[in-house]
Amino acid sequence: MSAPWFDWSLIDWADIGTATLDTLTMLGASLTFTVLLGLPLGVLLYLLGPRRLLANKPAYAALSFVINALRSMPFVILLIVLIPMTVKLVGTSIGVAGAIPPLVVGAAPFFARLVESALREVDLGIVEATQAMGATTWQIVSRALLPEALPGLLAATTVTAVTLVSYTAMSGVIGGGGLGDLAIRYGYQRFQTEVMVITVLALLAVVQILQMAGDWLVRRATRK
Amino acid sequence: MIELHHLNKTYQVDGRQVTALQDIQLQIPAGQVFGIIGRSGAGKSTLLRTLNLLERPDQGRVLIDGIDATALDQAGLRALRQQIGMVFQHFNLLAHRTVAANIRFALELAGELDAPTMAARVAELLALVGLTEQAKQYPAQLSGGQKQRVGIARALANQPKLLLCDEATSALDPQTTQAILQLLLDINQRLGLTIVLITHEMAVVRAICDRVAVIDGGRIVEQGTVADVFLHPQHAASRNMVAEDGHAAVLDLAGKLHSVAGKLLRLTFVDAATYEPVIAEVGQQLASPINILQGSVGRIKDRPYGQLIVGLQGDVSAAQAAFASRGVRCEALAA
Repeated sequence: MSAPWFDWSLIDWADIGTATLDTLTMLGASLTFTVLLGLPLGVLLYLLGPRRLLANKPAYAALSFVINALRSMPFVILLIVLIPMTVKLVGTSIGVAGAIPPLVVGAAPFFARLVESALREVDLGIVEATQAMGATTWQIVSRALLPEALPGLLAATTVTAVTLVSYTAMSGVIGGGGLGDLAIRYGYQRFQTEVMVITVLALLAVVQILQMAGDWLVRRATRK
Repeated sequence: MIELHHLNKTYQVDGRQVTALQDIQLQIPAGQVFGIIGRSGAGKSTLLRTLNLLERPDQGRVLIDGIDATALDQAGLRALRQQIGMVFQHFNLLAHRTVAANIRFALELAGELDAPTMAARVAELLALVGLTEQAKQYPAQLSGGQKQRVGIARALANQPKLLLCDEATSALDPQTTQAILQLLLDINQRLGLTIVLITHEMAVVRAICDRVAVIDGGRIVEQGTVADVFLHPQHAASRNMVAEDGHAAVLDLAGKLHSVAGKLLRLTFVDAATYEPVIAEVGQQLASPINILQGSVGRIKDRPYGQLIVGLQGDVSAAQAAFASRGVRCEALAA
């Protein structure tokens, strides 16, 4: 006679539901702010780059360095380093609200780089043609570059969203809430393997859905 | 009328100075099709781009209808650019916009027309380039020739006085090239706009240009009417371009013709003289047979021409006089 491997009766499904909702809230909010911050940053990075419209070597090098510095910092460290800033911004360093500022700071530089490379994929001939039609730099960016790079930008957003899911799980370390938090408190600290299994499956489902939705959007936007 | 005065441009490439343009002096009369021909790297692309200041010359002035484009501020330059259409080798269409929306793009950027007026103008342009059926297609669904027609329609959207063509037919097959060249010629004649085109193919120049400048190593080495440059190229670079075209009777038989008895003459007929039995008449007059060794006949734009290399036994100066009186240019070649 063998004991069952898992005892699912131990699981509090309401907790799982709340945690999933928390994860989705953190994801939605941090993705929104990441795009709002990272998109202009990525456009600026592109424009300042060599042979681009606002080519400026020192400015590009400086911006590039800041982005690299933020990206080279492990997210767990960033979480802790940013606690004072987070408290100033949202009044707390824990829970769903406390997790959002470090998530944005962690993901925005990453997203900016992806935006830069998506814009670089746009044929320079299109920029030149738009310029030859008498467009301003703003018109070139808003009417030609961004719409032409849309499939690349959507793919970049998808990758960033998936990265943010794993970041939200990590923010459980500092009491960030959500599925990661649940996994650490029950699965790790209380040895409830069942909770660990369910949270992993829930995260997998979230990532899978994000990726499929992103791929669908990219396909719809692609005209090549 | 476009005037380029003493244009100079150098680039820094890997710390080395590369001269792209050297003391360019050029006058392009309004309403003409003006060709700039040169090999890749000769500077023709840079030269074309100085006309709308996509390339800013280090020195010199670009006068367009008397206005110095190099002295304009940003707003002035954008207004000028809206008056200059540009067509590209690789079309440079926006992939996310339909054919109609690509043409409308130029109108949207100018921002002077309301939506119904823009739609009417787009329809007019689509008809002009023969793409009314394709209005709702995306560039990826079009052939190369159709893409270039969209490019031309877009370039004409703001009713420019000047059209710049950057190797507009180099990415197209020969048949499509002819169709696009005919379209450009038609536009030049119907709308009376000036066309400046750059190309590495003499055939393009021969088909539609009135005047041509040959650029080599960043310098204009020769310029004149297409008939003059094509039939009597003076500079080595021009002679090479003509020889590659294979349509003019340049003497590349030197050494192979030493066995031919008599003197070698090059005869050039243009316009009316092409239709007369000149060779037979002169042969009879001199009572000496004329031996045709090499030659070509064809058209430069709409002017017929013929160029022959002939062998003659007898009096060269008498032959030259006889040909000259019939409107045929005759040069003695050193055999």
